[in-house]
Amino acid sequence: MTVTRHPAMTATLWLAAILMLLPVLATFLNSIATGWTGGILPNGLSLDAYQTILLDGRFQSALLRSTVVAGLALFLACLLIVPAVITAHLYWPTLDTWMARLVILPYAVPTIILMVGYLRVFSAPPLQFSGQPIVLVLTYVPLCFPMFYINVKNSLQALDTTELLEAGRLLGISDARLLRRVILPSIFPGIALAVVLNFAGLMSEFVYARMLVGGQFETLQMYMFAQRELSGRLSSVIVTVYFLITLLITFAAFRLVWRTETKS
Amino acid sequence: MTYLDLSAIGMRYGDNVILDGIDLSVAQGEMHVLLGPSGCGKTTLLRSIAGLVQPDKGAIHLAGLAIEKLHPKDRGIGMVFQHYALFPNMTVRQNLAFGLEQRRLARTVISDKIDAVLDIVSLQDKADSRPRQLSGGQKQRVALARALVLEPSLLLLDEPLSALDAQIRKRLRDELKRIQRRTGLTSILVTHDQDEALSLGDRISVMNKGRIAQTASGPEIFYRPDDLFVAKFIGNANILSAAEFSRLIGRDFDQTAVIHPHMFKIGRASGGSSLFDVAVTVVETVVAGNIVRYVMQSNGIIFNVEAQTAMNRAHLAVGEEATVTIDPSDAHFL
Repeated sequence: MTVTRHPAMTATLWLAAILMLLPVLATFLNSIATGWTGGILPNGLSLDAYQTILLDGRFQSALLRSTVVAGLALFLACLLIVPAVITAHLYWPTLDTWMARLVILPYAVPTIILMVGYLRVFSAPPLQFSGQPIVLVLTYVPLCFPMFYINVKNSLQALDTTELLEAGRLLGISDARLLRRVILPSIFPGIALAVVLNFAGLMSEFVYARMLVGGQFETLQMYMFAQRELSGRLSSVIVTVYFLITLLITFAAFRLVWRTETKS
Repeated sequence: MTYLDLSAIGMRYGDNVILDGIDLSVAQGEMHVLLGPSGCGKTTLLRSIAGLVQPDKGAIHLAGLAIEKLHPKDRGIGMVFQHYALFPNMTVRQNLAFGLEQRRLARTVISDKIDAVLDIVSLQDKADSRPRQLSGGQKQRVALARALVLEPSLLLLDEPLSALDAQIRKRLRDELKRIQRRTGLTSILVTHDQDEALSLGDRISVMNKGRIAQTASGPEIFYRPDDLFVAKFIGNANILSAAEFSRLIGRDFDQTAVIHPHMFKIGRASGGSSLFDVAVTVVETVVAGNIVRYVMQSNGIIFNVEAQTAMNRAHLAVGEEATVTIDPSDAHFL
């Protein structure tokens, strides 16, 4: 079957692509400009701003902090959420309907209420870590829940897990082994996608970081916020660097998915 | 000789009786078909034999051994699922090897067994393909191979052909029959398709509401159904009450008649035979390849008649008046 493409459709797609790319391109262009006044293009190009930012010790530690916090939160999320979603899907369908409802909770509860709650929980024993970076890690985990739930659940639904488990039982393959050898590899792309999307989200998270760990723990977004007075150029550099990191992680994740799909 | 023996298998789910005291004996090497409408309990019965569900009561013996308490993997049963249930991330070869690996066999032994089975299902050239690269029919053959490679003592097939389109279904049906004959494997196949049941089954059990209504060979079920349910479920026989049949041929009968449409012959009877003439009006004519299907009417009784078409012979038109003959010994009475 051949698909006929109307020129108008192609044009619309290109237009949409340009619209999506324009802010990224403009930010990048601004980050390498010497100045940008009076014209549609920058006055001159230079990498000075990159040098300033990349060599700034404050930027380096902020980037490291954000990456470590996001990485730890995602690690915990993978460890807690993925098994929970899988077990509920396979063995406790009633629990699963509850999960489907809980999924909107991180969005439905106003952030300020969450913040007050978190501040109270973490200011008294047994979880008295108020203001410490661990608070940020722990509060990011539930923030990851919806994306993990949706992606893992979709991947599971694409498999007929009940039949797979039953087929395994008749072949003498235990549920645990089947999970490890068949179900987990099959839903791996879904998990990887959730990790990438959440990573991008957590790297650009500002409100939680600002309110929960305040001035003691400068994350990437807080560093950017602090630089806003200095120059838009520096902010552009930070955004570009952050964008490149996310892009890199996305490629790494897709490579991993591609490798598991062609290998195993 | 009985190979698989089910006795008094019962299962209920809340107030619903799913299986109502099923007794069934299957001989070694037999292809036995469980046929029935959806919800009749046929799949649950199959899953009970496999050990995927636990019936409330009853005993299952396979080759003389009580298996109803055993874990599915210890029953020596292979099963083919409706939607194949192939492991999507594994190649055909890995799908077949996965079960064998649990038995701690040598690599070369596993490899030889897989090659032998792939040869049976004619899929040698697909050994390294993944399920998503295969057609529906090929997937189902892999599923069959995966069950066969463990050399089970009993093969269960849960609507194995229902997810395939008509053309492939027919071809795979013949192939299934051939493979079953070749391996001599005792098999139970569940289906709701009577054509499939009649062409595959050495014997057929027709199920209704958790019970077996009749167990017999295909022709027996087709021509001599035990009750009205079986008569209505199999084929499209005319079911005429005693009064209707008496009125149709002008002689008294006191039982319901089951007459297949092709038992009526178009044309007048030659004298001295046991045939009865019936004057009819043609209500509807449908020509489908080698068969003409008529709906005819006589004395206010509507019934179906089927005849063979021929290249140079016209068929009766709607509204035409004609005579058909029927031999009461071609009717089955209930």
